[in-house]
Amino acid sequence: MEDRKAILVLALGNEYLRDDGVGIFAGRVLQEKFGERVDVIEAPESGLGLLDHIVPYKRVLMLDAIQQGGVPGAIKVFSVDQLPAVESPSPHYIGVPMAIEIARRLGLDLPDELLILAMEVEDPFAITEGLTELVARALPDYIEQASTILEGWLTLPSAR
Amino acid sequence: MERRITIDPITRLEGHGKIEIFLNEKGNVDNAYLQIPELRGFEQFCVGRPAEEMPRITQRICGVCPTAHHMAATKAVDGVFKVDPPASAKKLRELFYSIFMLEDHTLHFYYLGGPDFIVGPTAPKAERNILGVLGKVGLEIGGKVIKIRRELRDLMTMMGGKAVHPVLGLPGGVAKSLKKDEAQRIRDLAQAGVDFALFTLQAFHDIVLKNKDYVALITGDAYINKTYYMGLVDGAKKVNFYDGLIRTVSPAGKEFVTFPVKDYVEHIGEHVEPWSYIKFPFLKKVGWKGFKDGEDSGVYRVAPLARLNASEGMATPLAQAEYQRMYETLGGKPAHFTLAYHWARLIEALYAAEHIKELAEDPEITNPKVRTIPTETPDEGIGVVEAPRGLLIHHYKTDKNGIIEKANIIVATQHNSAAMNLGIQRSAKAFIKDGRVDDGILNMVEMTYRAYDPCHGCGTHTLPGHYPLSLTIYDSRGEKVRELNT
Repeated sequence: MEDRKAILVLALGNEYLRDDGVGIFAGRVLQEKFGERVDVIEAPESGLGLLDHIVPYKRVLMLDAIQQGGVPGAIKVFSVDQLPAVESPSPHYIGVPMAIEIARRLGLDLPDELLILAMEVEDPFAITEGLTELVARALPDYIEQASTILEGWLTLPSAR
Repeated sequence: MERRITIDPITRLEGHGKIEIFLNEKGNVDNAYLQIPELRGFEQFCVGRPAEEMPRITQRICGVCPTAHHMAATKAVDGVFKVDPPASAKKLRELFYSIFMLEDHTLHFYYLGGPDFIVGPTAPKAERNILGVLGKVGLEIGGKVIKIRRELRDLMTMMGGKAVHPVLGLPGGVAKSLKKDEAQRIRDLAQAGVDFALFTLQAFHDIVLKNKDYVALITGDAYINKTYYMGLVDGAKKVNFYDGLIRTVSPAGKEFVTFPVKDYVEHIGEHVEPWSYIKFPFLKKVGWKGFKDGEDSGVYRVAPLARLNASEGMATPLAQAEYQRMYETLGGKPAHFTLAYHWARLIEALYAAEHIKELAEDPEITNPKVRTIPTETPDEGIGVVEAPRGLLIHHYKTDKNGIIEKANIIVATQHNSAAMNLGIQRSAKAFIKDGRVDDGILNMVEMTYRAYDPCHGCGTHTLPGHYPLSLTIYDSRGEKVRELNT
């Protein structure tokens, strides 16, 4: 039987789609630093597929790229409730808010806390390996911010 | 004075679709254009890599149909290494693939196709999604959908290590054979899969087909295009997702040309338009005659309805019965009603479920020999599968060490891109009149788009994770009248 931890780092992304890999690369470093104490999962899925990963955990930190017109490299943290509401009728592109809402309505057990640490990126579409410059430069800081969140959670009694 | 409006393709479409509609002075639709993102960088990405890496890698470029890419790439590398997998390996691939198709198709109905009908096409956008569906059909069904999806994914994980990016296809076979208890597990779930497909079809009958307004919508003028149809068929000309010959039928339903994928270049041409980055495939033997319907135009369609139209039936009994029922209801074959794609999709889901059962009961499925080791010098291979969204082709040329020198890919949505444009034009002209462009009307146009469930270039799940479609309407002076972003 797996020894599942209370905290999950869910690294979303696709390392073959340029900046879309930023979450994945951050996740790998966090795996090295925190792998004994938290679970790290790499996930290329969106929406509904994420519920499979999220539901069993108490605290989840999602890492992902965003494009909201900001400066590439800018990092934001927000809780899932703060994500823009998504209404798109698409099965694979059910956004995170929609997936969470579905889970709520179906009475699935959701984490006590779900944070998203997102980085604004320049190009998450080209089929190329390697991050663009500003994103690559911001990666260490991104990892630092994620680490701070995890260290904070690990001091909580429920983390053990 | 007339003003010429040119659509500037210089703004690259990044991860979203774009519909632009141009009105004349009377406020009626002059023309409409759909642009979808191109796959940027695929060939450069492949060149220099070992061909046997392609099944593992190409599935990762697509967040929507990774398994389809995995399988098309696997078959292409069979070709590159000139190796024929043992029957057991082909069956395992086909079994895995059928599980994928069942999951994808049924999910599509509840999340994409369903909302338009279950909640209603003119319902406010906030309700026209899975949450609205859950509201109408009840949470119990919602729970059922999630559960069966999870179970199917678990089967895929069992067979391929991961559901989303399986390690399965190798040149000449598959990575792992199926143990007896694993086969039993699939058999145990298979009937539930059939039941679920039947249940979903029944829901479609009850909610959609019993509703006169919906039937009128499906068979109405706004959503009809008389094109050629293309799909993979087996030796008996029945629909097959994994392998076969590519069969095309004319708008009148006559077999037009049938060919193996290795000859695709002879039959499929690519037309360039100045306003779009993507090229528009067409049938060479008919020729490109513009964005037109009819026997004389080389425009063709792929994906569920097209596959059924291009075949002589379904290879499993329950699906065959539903196939017949559909064509009887729609007044014969081929059916040109774009919205019938949703129906055909469910018939295919049923076939997938029945096929899972058949394959899981085949004694060969647990044969431990699942690989023929390649011995020939590699050079070129072409693989084709039917993705949920239509025909998918991977084509690789390598050096004698199996390192890729050239790569080409035609995704399902490309095949449909000309027909999608035709469809958007038609529905736009039907619904947008006298300058009236409210949300409900625009949704009617979008319904064309959704029937095809296009692949979105490379599925990105960048937060918030949905795939936007922008729809812009311009008046006769080229001024923006309305812009909608989903």
